[in-house]
Amino acid sequence: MAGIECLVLGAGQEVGKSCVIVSFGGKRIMFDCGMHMGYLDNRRYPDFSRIPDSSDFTKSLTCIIVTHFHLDHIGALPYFTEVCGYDGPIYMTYPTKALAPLMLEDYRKVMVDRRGEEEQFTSEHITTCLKKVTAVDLKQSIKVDDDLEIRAYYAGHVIGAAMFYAKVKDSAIVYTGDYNMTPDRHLGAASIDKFLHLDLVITESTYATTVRDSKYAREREFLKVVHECVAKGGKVLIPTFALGRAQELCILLDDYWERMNLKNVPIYFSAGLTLQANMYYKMLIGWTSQKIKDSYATRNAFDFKHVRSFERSMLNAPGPCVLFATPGMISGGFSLEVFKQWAPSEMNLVTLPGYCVAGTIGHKLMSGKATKIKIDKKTEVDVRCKIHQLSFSPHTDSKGIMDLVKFLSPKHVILVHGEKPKMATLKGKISSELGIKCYDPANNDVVHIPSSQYVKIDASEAFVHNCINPNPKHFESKADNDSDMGAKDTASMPVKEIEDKRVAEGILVMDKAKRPKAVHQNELLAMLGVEEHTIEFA
Amino acid sequence: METERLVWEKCDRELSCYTNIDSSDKTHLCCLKALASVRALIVNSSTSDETISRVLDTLVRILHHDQENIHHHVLKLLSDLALHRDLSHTTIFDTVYAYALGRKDASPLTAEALAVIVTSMERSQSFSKLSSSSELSENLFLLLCSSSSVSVRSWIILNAKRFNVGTCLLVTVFLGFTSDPYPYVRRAALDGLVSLKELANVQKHDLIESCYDRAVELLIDTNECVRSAATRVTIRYDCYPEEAADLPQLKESKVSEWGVVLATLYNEVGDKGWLDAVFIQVCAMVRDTSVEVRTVAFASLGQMKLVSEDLLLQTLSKKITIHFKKRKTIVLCTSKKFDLPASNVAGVFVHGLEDEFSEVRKSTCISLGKLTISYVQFAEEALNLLMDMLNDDITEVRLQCLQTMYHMATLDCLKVQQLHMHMFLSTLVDSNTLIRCATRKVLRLMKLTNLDMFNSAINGLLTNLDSYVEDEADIFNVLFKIGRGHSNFAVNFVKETFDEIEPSCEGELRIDKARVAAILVLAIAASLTHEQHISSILRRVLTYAIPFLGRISYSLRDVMSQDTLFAYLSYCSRFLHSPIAEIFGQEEHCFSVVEDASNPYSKEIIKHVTPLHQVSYGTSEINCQDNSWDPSHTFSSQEYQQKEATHAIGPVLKIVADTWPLIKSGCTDEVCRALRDCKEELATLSVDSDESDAGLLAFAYQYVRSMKLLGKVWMHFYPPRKFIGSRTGLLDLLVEKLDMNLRRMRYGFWGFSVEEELHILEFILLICVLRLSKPDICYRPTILKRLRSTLSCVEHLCQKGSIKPSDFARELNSFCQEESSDDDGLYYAFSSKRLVELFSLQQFVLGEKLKHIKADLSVPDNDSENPLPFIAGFPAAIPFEIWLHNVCSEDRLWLKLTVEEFTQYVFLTFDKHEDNDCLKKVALNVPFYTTPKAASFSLRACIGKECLFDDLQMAKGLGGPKHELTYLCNEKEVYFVTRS
Repeated sequence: MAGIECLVLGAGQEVGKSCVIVSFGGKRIMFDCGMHMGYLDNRRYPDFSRIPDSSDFTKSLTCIIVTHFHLDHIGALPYFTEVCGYDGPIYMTYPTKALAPLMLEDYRKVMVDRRGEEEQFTSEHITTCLKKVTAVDLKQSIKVDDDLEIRAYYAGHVIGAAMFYAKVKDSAIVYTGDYNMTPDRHLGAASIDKFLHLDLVITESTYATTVRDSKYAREREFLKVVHECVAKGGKVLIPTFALGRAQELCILLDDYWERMNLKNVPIYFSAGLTLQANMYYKMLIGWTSQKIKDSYATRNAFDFKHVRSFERSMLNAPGPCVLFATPGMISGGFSLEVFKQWAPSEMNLVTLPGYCVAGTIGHKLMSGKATKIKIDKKTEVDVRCKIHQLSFSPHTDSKGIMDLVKFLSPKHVILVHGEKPKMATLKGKISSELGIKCYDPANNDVVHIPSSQYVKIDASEAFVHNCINPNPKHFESKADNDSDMGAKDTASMPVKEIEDKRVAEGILVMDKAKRPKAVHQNELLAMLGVEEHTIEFA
Repeated sequence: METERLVWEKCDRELSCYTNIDSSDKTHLCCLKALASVRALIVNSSTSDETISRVLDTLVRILHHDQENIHHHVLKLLSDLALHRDLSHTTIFDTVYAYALGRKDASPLTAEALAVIVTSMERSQSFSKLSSSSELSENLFLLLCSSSSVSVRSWIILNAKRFNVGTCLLVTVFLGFTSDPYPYVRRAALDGLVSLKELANVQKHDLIESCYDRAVELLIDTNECVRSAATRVTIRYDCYPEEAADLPQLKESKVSEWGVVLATLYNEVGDKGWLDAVFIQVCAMVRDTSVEVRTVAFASLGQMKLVSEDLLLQTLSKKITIHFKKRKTIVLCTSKKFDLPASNVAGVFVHGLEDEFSEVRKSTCISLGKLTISYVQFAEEALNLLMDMLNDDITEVRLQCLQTMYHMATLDCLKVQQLHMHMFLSTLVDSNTLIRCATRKVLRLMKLTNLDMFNSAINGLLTNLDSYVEDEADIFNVLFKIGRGHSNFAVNFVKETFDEIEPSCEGELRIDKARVAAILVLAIAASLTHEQHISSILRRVLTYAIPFLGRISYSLRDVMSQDTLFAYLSYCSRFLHSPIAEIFGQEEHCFSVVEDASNPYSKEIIKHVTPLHQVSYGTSEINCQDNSWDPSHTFSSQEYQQKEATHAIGPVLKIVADTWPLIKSGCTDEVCRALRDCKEELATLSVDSDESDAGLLAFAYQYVRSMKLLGKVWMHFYPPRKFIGSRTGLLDLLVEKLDMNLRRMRYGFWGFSVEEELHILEFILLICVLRLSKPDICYRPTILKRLRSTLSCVEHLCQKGSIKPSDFARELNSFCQEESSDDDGLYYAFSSKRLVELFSLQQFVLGEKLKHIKADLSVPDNDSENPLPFIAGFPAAIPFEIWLHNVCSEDRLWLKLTVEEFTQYVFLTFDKHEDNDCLKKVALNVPFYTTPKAASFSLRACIGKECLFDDLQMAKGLGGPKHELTYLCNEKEVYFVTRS
């Protein structure tokens, strides 16, 4: 099989159920195994039946690589392993392996217990599935088998997110997963080696056309509204998802509280998932940003100084406070409960995440100046509080994508995980500005890409020696070309010049066994068994 | 002693056994052990000299044997000896030198031997030995260069300068080594190239270009240390085209207008393109994965002044502006060889500030600060980004950011806006003392453009005071400075917070409150600026300040003493004596405000005022007697002001004199700031001074200006501190400006006392001496000539006033007499340094007789709307009206008329006995001969006085002045249009 074949099972021209099957050099790798949160029917999973030899996935696939623990990247994994029966190796980073069960279990609970849907996989499935996972570290080269080598690189985005490099024989690819090129308060920026000689980069393109300006402006806005609110004695509700954003905002606030000496205003975390998640973060310090790693020796940044856990009785306690509550879009649960209590007061503030699914309260608040919001048939909330929309995002922007592609300079680029029209724009930009062939396949499309092949040659010792050592040629020339730069004393003396062309010079020969070999010019005659003839002109 | 001897004997035995009898593996081990003990002996400082000399002998002996396997260790020991012991340099040098010469091969041992030589030389500081020895010259150097050992190669490159090798050869060798397979060798070669530039003023275009090209190629090296070195080299060579372009030009145009020079410089599209191309090149490096490379790249960007502003503006935004898209093509065509998409620069500084690593962020902050200095719009937009950095989680970065702002403020390019204030002032409550202190430092210099900003700044400081009581003294000081700078706002603020200060109805002062004290400081500051028009409220407030005297005066100790403050406060309170109706008449609106706010105490206030009046009226006679605030002058304010103006110049000149040590130590920022304050002080004085003081003020102003220029010039001579302000400009321009200023001081006034004139002359001498040390800013014969003539003036004056000449003048005199004939730059550099050390700046004491020679020039009824008629090619008459102040009969005055490049001089003659000496009025009809063939033109006219003592002859000859002119008035533009 020549070249690289790339089958996009999910996240082709859409966001959700990331899943790409790449076959090259006789190996077949599945990158990510996600589910689509927008569908409830069989469209929520990638169409696994399209995988060649789908009768036996274990045989068909060499391995599965999962980049991070978000459900649209890992959600279908228990289903695929436990229900579809894949039994081969699975790779993910340590934090992903640690946090994935939390996510999957939470999702399962919401699906089954709350919505009463048919169970796709059970808790046991999750447990057994994750037992099959091999955890990897950053920059650790793993030999999956004799030919296939994979390596994880830091990707930012969420804790434990990684880009994966895979190499079979001479062809190499990188699958980025989701990544962030600018660091935030708790995670670093994506970083990868430069000289990987890649044939293909498969990159996300969530913000294919957006160019975001400095993150500091966003932070400043956020801190300003929160500070103003608590300074006037108001309460701040920050509905947030338990992992990632919550820690980011909390570090930001905790640091600000420390600097501004706001000890008398408590910050609360609603109990549950968040506290558990914080515990994991404390253990996974090695995967956070430089600053947190540096200060770890003195203080763990996730040991928030000003954060206390919240009790329901405090809900209507007087005085200012800041409260983190799940879920992020105020679709129910504790954040809705708090919202009902706090929204009617003008002094209070509610922040909204950057993106809210239609139908949630968050979305209603975002869409306009709603004064009355119906929560259910009986209750209606009078919204008088201030609303602030956050625009933090863990995805890189279009400039970041361009920078990464330019940095890696692969021969081909495939865009996934984005919206179709925007991807088309970015595709045009990559091919015109960087001169790299770019594709934006839809779901279930297959892209064929030629792969590179190198011919290995032997090198003689003399040739190698000649390459690594300087080989200057001295010659003396008259001082005529020397003008103002030599010192005075060179005027009368002949000037020594040195020529050192550090080009590896050699001769490529092919012997009887058809093995190519590079030799030094002095060796050639001996090798060919020919005598040296010199011709002199009279 | 005994142990020492035993150890040594054992070592000696084993060593001689190894070298003379048996060099098997077994004895080799013993020998190594022995050498280790020897090292212990060498390093131990209590080992006797006797043993050391024996050790040396043995080591030298071993070196003569040919057991090369231990030579390495022996050489190491010799270098230790050279490092730790003082006595044996010559022996070591000679032995090892012979050894190295004997080997003459490219093995590591030779290099090591050379390294020992270098160490021993460094210790004994006899550098000349090696560079003069011909054996150790090019041949050996080249031999070592082609060594197969990597360590030898990198060593030889690092130490190349110690060999007697021509620059030309070095450059080629270094260039060759930039493609060495080993990264450390490559880096060493690049570093070598960088240092070469400093060694010799390489003037070869193509050479520089090939260096640059090579560095650009290495920017994509696989190894990060090479990349960072390459970034440095790139930046290094960018300096070249810029310098090369402006140097010859400047030399030609020494006399011409400075503005024109700059304009031509900027208009040279080619140069600008080059510089921009380099800038873009470096921008490509800021997204590198290595932290070191990024840090260096940002630091380099800061070095590149004179880059196009639109390029710089683009670095602050990731989005490519439409304007910039158009420009892209231009950049591409000027940068010839390398592919430089201009989009590289987009958002470079945003990336830098967002970087994960605090080193990079810090480096970016510094660079931003450096670049903001030259560009107004860039400064404004960069400030937006910098403000956000105050939210950084690393204290160092925040501190650096504040320092950058402070630096911007000292150079007058900090334009803070309302929307920044929240972020900025929040650092005032930062828990870190350093941050708060740095913020206040910036606040001191910040210009608050509107009342809202002022109020929020003051409120921020008051909050700071509430939360951190320990900052009180500093806060008061800042409040005072702000209050002085923004007195109207301050008055307003005080009025608004009047309730807080005013005693409550029980009549108690809230004297325990720091907040009240803070507002009182503000009131004092405001009243000092508004001396004549202090509102009654302010006066009342000032009365309340007396109980706080200790606290306030402590914090203002750098401004005034406690006594002065007390005197002032009591002086102010006396103003309350004047009839009450007057106060209320003046300040009616103010009280109505109070009433509007339905203040229940407004009647109370009136009650308070009246008794206070009566009381102090009664005692005023007594009080006045012992008041240091001279009471006789308090009411005749005009008289008072006059006295004030003359007296106030003294302290200003004192401050100027005090800046001299600062200038010497290179604290240019501080100097500039202090002198700017002086200027402001003089400006306020000049507002209400009359004719008689004008001369003094004008002179003081020139003096301050000259000192400021001197400060800037100084930076080019003596190694400055790390963070150099970049608005120092080109040395050439500066020195010339300074000269012009000094000329103006010397010839633009008359009535100097001998001391005064000597002071100016010494100043002029200092500049000549400084010039001598840098060949690129002086044509030596001219300067020497000027030096001699000035010296003779000094001598003459000294004789006349029977004053002993200063050390500086004396030494300079002898220097001029013995001055060597050969044209050795080093000699001048050295002696000028020595001479400058001798110079010391005394405080300038001004007599009161000084008259400012100046002129006013006007052409009645002429402006751009009403031009004079002319016929192209024919002379046109210009009716000038000239007023001459304090011009005496010996002065040779010229009227200079300039149209573009053409200049016409007209000698001014006037009747000597016509008017009184102070002011002459002359009406003249001057023909201008060469009117251009154009529909309209404008002519610049100016009056200059010939500097008779300057023997610098003008080369013009065409009937113009024989000496340089010092200008007595501003240029006047005269407009012409063809007669239709």
